[in-house]
Amino acid sequence: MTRFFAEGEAILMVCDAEGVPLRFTWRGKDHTVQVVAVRWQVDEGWFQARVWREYFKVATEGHTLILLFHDLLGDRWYLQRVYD
Amino acid sequence: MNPSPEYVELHCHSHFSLLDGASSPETLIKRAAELRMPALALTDHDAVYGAVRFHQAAQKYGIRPIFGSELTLHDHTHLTLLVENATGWANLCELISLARHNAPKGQARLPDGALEGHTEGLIGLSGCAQGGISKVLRRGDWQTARAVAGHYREVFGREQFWIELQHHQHPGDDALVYKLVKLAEQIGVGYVATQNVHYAHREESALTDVLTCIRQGLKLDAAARVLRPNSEYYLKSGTEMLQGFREYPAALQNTLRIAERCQFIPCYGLQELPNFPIPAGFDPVAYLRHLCLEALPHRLPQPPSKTSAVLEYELAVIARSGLSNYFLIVWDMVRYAREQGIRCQGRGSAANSLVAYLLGISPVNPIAHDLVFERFLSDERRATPDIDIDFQADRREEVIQYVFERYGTDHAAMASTLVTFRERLARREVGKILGLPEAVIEGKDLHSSLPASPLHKTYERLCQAIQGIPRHLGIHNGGMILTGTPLTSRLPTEPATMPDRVVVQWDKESLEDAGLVKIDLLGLRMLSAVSEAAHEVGLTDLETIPPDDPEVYELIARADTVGVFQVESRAQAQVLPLLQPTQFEDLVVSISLIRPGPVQGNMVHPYLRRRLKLEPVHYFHPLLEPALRETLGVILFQEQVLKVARDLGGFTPGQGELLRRALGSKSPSEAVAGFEAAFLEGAAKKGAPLEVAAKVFTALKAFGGYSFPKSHAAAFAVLVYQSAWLKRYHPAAFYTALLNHQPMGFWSPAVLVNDARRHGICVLNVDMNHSQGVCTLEGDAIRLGLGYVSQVSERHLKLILAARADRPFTDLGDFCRRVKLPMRITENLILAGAFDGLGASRRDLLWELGSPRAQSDELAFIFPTDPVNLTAFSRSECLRGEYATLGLSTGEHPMALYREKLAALGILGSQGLGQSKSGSIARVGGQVVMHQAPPTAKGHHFVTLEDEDGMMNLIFRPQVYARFHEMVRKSPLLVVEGEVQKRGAVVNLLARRVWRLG
Ligand SMILES: [Zn+2]
Ligand SMILES: [Zn+2]
Repeated sequence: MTRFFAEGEAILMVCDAEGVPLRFTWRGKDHTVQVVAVRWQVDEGWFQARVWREYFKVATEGHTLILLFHDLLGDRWYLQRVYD
Repeated sequence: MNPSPEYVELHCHSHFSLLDGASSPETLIKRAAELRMPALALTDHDAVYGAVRFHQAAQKYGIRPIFGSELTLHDHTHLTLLVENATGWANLCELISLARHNAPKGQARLPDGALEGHTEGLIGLSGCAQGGISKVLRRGDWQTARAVAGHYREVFGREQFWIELQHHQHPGDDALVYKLVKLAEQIGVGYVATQNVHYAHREESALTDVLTCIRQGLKLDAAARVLRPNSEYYLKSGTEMLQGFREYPAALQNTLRIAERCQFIPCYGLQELPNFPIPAGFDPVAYLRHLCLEALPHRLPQPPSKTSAVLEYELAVIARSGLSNYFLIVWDMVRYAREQGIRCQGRGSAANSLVAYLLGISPVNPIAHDLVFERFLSDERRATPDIDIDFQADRREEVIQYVFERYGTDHAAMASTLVTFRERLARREVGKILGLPEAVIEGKDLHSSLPASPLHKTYERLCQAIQGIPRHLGIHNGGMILTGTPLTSRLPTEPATMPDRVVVQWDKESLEDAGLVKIDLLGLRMLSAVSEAAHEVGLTDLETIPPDDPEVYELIARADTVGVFQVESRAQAQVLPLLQPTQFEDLVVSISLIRPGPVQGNMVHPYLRRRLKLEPVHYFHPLLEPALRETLGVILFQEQVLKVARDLGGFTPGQGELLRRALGSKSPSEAVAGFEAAFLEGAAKKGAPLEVAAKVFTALKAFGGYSFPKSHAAAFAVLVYQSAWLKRYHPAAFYTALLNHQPMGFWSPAVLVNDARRHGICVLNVDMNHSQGVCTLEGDAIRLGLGYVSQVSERHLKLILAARADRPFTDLGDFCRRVKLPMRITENLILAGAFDGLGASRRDLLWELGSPRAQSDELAFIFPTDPVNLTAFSRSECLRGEYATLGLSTGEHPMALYREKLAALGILGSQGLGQSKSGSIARVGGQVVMHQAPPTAKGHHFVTLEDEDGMMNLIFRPQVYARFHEMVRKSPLLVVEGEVQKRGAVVNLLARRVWRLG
């Protein structure tokens, strides 16, 4: 079953030099990114409240598929979806 | 860290991709330079509007420009085209033209199959996400994608066609790029990365969203599906591009290989003009000479001795410049117009040329007026001279039509203009898509909470940012382009809004800068009026009127110039009585004096004082005497700027020209700054003291760019004299013609009518049984035309005149039954007094109009006239109706109604003011007929009052105006107290108090 967090759950992220996720901590547990399946950016809604994010769909070493995003305005990371 | 990979952007839209791209070509080039790109392509949608500006900016920044376009094909898919060489450019122009003419205005669609045979010299890239290949590949239709790609490979050739890869950080981009690379490998063509740039910097992406919404007529919050989902469409460096193409380094390297192959720069010249057909036995040089010699006895019956030397010299320079053919083409237009009885005359520097005079292009004999040919054309400066011709406005279209017929629509087109967002339009359109209330957009709702809100800040920011961005293409007012080879191989053309009219994709500036010859066919209403008046009095040739009639100069010298071309304004009326013109040269000076340059440069009063011998002629420096002798030491004509720069600053003619342009630019102080040091240095070398040189330069700066060249003023002075002559000897015909060609000139028709009456001419009101559509002469009197009544259209006039042709109208009922006009039109006619001749009062007629009798088709006797007995309108009620419907009154002047009362109070009219002593305090009353606050007047307001006898000039100092501005702006009739100021025959009242009258 998929778990979805509309606002995103704040996470602690370690990236490589080019901003690609390596490891992150969610709810006190560490996860290592095994592979980035796909990444994309959105930048919209500037006339109301701008949303500028880079999304990463990653597989962790624990074989979980997770959707993360990097809030490029505040430079913070969030977890948005866990595909079980 | 790896060095940044080299990259050239090959797919880039400027704001000339109308309502799509956000950045100017200059901004894009500047950004490319910052990113150290060696080259940059411009690929606007179906257009090369920005090509010339792009080229100029590229030169400035040392970047190689690549020209191209993203073409819309028959199935709405896109294809990117880049120009390799001249053949490619011709093909691109052809393709864009085909696509534009195959779709409604503002759109494009290349006809199916049109690409074949038009690809030589072009490199084709497979296009954006809307490209024919990407589109099907995204659906997973590999078969079709392969077929389409194979087709392009055949059409362009294997070396000329490339698969275009784009990556904008969308979810499917990795996969699409992968498939496209595989496809390229399979069909054996190269692939190349592009960015499909729509703005130079990420921050401008909001602006493209705004433009998209304006284009689509959508509000921003309802436009999500048409807006780009992110802000990745900006101009990127090689390093930034790497993120999308890390696995395909060739994609970036290939951008340089392709860029290297595109080496074309468009440039044109006189050779582009069509060859004017010439009789056997002549070449253009000989034929031009032949025409001049043929015209000589007629144009110069007593040629001065140096005539033939001047003529031969001019012909030789013209021949060496390759301009003979150009002159013949212009001559032919003028010849055609004359044959059709269409008045015309050249303006601008052509008047310096004897050849232009002999050919009838210019109305001024340059020998008689000391005009110097080199200012038009010289061996040193072989730029194509500008020949602009004014035609009588009402018939200019016939000449344009002739040119289209003579050279064919394949060889003739109009220049375009790009209509840009200005402040008002920006506020309205941006406000609309942000969903702001009307009151905020119109700036009326200043007290709402909005100004502080973030939305309002966004609004203000966007309104600023959008200004100057082109919105749509318009047609230039009269600028024509002619080419010998079909136009579409030189420049793309597209349909204009006017049916059957075609415009080229470049505006006036671009055409000039690229060297394409443009001929301006302008419309001038005064030529129409002069033509009509001359025709009315049986004069076929105004050129034969006596050239130095003292009575004409007397009329001008007493500033009796209402209606006369160029010298009728309030400011002119202040100068003419002091200047006392007695000859043609004086007219040239007079119209040149009242220009922003001489006015701002404080040249007017020194000139007048010197002319009146109130002060000695004085030169800034003896070196300037040759340049400024003819204007008594002041700078008056545009070309004197060049002479001053040369004689004192040691500038070359080229530098002088650059300085003159800088002086005329929008921010002169900035543009001129660079010249000041050079000028001071040059003057020092010539031994001029620093403070003198600095003073002269300050004078040049104040003078600015807004002044006439002497030749231009001379050409206009011809029309000044002709119109003054008509006013002096045929005033009734002259006023009638003026009334028929409004709007024009400085004064309203009401003032013209009052001026006519002050000259003893009877002006008859509109009359249902006597007026024509236009104003006409009725014996010695002027009869107003029915067309003067507001809201009466051409169609209404036809109905009225057709019914009247059967028999005259007997009463209002008769009129209403025979001419079915909307009620409000008939009402206007009644209020104007058009039915006064039928016996009933205007109030009775209005009553009757509302009764069933007037509205019925039945015979009159069925409805007996209502037995009402209404009091007729008072004189002032009548006046109000006349002003409302005619804008004027042929009855007594409104001030006549107050004359007795005012006299009893000691309030003067224009005659009394004329007799007052200078320095005395007077009160005057009159009707406001003009209100000016020119930017040169530093806050002063000039108001002209009129009464039965003439006009009165009021001057309001800024503080006085501030106190009384409400009243001055809103009351039609005023009483003003002030100090009388007299200078010769010029009288002004320096206002200090104001009262409302009536
Ligand atoms: Zn496209
Ligand atoms: Zn594009």
